[in-house]
This record gives sequence, C-alpha cells and structure tokens, in this order.
Amino acid sequence: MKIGSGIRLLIMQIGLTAFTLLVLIYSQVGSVFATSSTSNVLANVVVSSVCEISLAPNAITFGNVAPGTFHPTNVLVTDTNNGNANANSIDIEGTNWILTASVGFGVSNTTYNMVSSSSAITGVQLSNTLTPVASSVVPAGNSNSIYFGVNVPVAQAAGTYTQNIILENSC
Amino acid sequence: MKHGSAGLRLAPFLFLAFSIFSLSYAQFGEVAGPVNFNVTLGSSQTLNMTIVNTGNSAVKFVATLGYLSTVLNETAPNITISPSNGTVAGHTQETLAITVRMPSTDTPGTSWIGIVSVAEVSNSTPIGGGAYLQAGVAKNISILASKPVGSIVPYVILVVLLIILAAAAWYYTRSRKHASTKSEKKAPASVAAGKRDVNRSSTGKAAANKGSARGKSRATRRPSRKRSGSRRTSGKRSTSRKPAR
Repeated sequence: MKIGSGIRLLIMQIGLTAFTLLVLIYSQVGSVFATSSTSNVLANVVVSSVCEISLAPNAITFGNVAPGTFHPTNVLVTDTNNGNANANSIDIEGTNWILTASVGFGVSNTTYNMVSSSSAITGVQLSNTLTPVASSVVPAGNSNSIYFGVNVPVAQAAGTYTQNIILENSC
Repeated sequence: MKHGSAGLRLAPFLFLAFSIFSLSYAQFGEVAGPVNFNVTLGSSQTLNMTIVNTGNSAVKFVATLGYLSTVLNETAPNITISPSNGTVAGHTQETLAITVRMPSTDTPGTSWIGIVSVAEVSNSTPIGGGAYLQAGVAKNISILASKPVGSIVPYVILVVLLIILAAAAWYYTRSRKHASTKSEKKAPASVAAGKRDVNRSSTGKAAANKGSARGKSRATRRPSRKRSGSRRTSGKRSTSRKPAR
C-alpha cells in the first residue's frame, strides 16, 4: 500500500511538473507569436539630369544632282531630346564627300539651316570642326528640325558620294 | 482548336513584331552640368563626364576633343579623355575622365573653352549615296590657368627663426636683469658694513670713507665662499682695527 501511494505521489508530481512546463512553454510560444517586429530600410536614388539625342532619319539621300547645281536646303533631320534636361545647344561637324580615296569634294559644299528652303541653298556651310548650330536648343521631351542641302562643284566626277555628319546635343 | 491554330498562325508575325520593336534606335545621352577646370600651372586636373545609353542596343562610341580655343602667346593645355572609345551597353551609363594638364609656362588667369565630343560610331553607309548621320553628345568645358599656391616651408622657417630670436632676446634680457639684481643685493650689504664702521669709529669720516670704499670694492668684486666667510666677520675686524688718525 505504501509503495502504491508513493508511486501515485510520484506520478502526481511528474504530472504537475509536466503541466507547469507546458504552461511555461505555451506562455513563451505565445509571447513569441504575440510580438511582431518591423524594420524599415530607407532607400533613395538620385535621378540625374540627362539630355539625349535621337536622330531621324539616320541617313539622308539627296538623289541625283548634276555638277554645277545644288539640292536646296530642305532635307529634314529631326533631333529629338527624350531626356529630362534641356539640350543647350546642338553641335555639328562633317567629313568631306568621298567617292574614292582620291576623288571627292569638300565638306563645306553641304549646308544646314534651321529653316527649310524649297528652291535655294541657304544656311551655314558645314565644316570639319565641331561648331554650335546657331540658336539651337532642344527642350527636354521635344525635338528640333535641321535642314540640309548640297552643292556639287562644277565638273565633279560622276558617282555615288558619301559623307558623315555628326550631330551632338550638349547640356 | 480554331483559337489554337489562329495563335500558331500569328506566332511568326508576333515574333517579327517583337524583333522589330527590340531593334529600336539607340538613345544616346549625357548627364547635364558644366565641366569647369581650374588647373594650377604645371599640374593637372581630372573631371568626369557621364554618357548614357537609354536604348536597347549597345552603342559604340569614340570620344575626342572636338574644339579648343587658342590664346595668343600661350601654350594650349593638353587634354586627354579616358576611355577614348568603347561600347555602352543598352540601358547603362559610362563615366569618361577628362584630364587637363596645364603647362607651367602659361600665364595665370588665362582661360580656354572647348568641346568634348562623344559620337556614336557606325561603319554603315547610306544606300545610294548621301550623308550618314551620327548622333552624339558634346560637353562644353572651360579651363582656367591658376597661379600655383606658394610653399609654406619658407614661412615656417621664418616663424621658427623669429621664435628663436625672441627666445634669445628674452633670455639675454633676463640674464642681464638677474645679474644687476644680484649686484644690487650685494651693494647694500657692503654699504651697511661701511656704516657700521663709521658708527663704531671715534673719528668718523675717514673711517667711514674707508669702510664704504672697502664695501664698494667688495661688492663689485666677484664673491667667493671664502670671502663671504670673511665678510661675515667684517664687523669684528672693524672693531679690532685702529681708528684712522
């Protein structure tokens, strides 16, 4: 009998201890679930002011022009600035007209202007030095028009001539 | 089934349309802002310029000094751009370093203006002749030659010399003052000794003169330990001395 009651007492003590432990664990787990922590990461980015350039078309053809005649300054090139800053100026330069390594004519035979002319060769002669186009500003998100023409010197050899024109926006 | 076959028939066109959309023109740009150099004679300065490709396709570029003004009787500064060529991938940016080296022979205050040109490179030519247009960006630069800042070493040396001189002057004055104070301290003692002689002598003046003379001579003399001991007994001596007749 004494042994049996001792065992019962032991079992009761074990039960009580287990119950206490369970309560403790529950309270701890509960507290874990109850508390929530948040942390913020502050992010920032500095967006630069940028001016851009996009030319359309990226090649111009004057067609057939006889020696000693010209193509009027009316071939349109559109300079678009899709940036968020104004382009303060457009700079322009070009290369000589080339047929072969030894045959060509001067860069200055090309002219450019901010206004179109249907019948005359007008504006400024192109040079091989980077030169600002007069009163040329391309506001952000806008475009500007430049018109080109060409004068073919007298007795110029027949053939297909090419030239490079560089247009640059500056800000 | 019908929907599926229609989708299959449209697929090549959609692919073509997508391909065309992907081959959109490159957008070339630059970060805005002035590039102003202030270069000391005989030295160099480097400032940056950032170019941007907002298009989908990569852009090959070449960077050159497009223009630099000339100034009479002055040597133009040497300008280098690094890298001077390269490729900017789509939707990326690249920083170019512009270095200006100023000759040491130029006049301070001289200024130059220039244009750094970054142009798109393409080998293609227009079909049937004509002009091929290259887009690019340009950066206006200004360069000012400035006077070199003088070395602080001579100033430091001057200050140190002044401090040394001031310290030497102070020490000299102090030592002089000290010496005079010492002599002044000794003088009254000898005078007092002379006076005591006078008081004790019966005839007075001659003895006083003698005593004072002795005192003075002693005071001016450099004291030694032996003499100081004798000075202590000077009173006694004077008492034993016979008064002057």
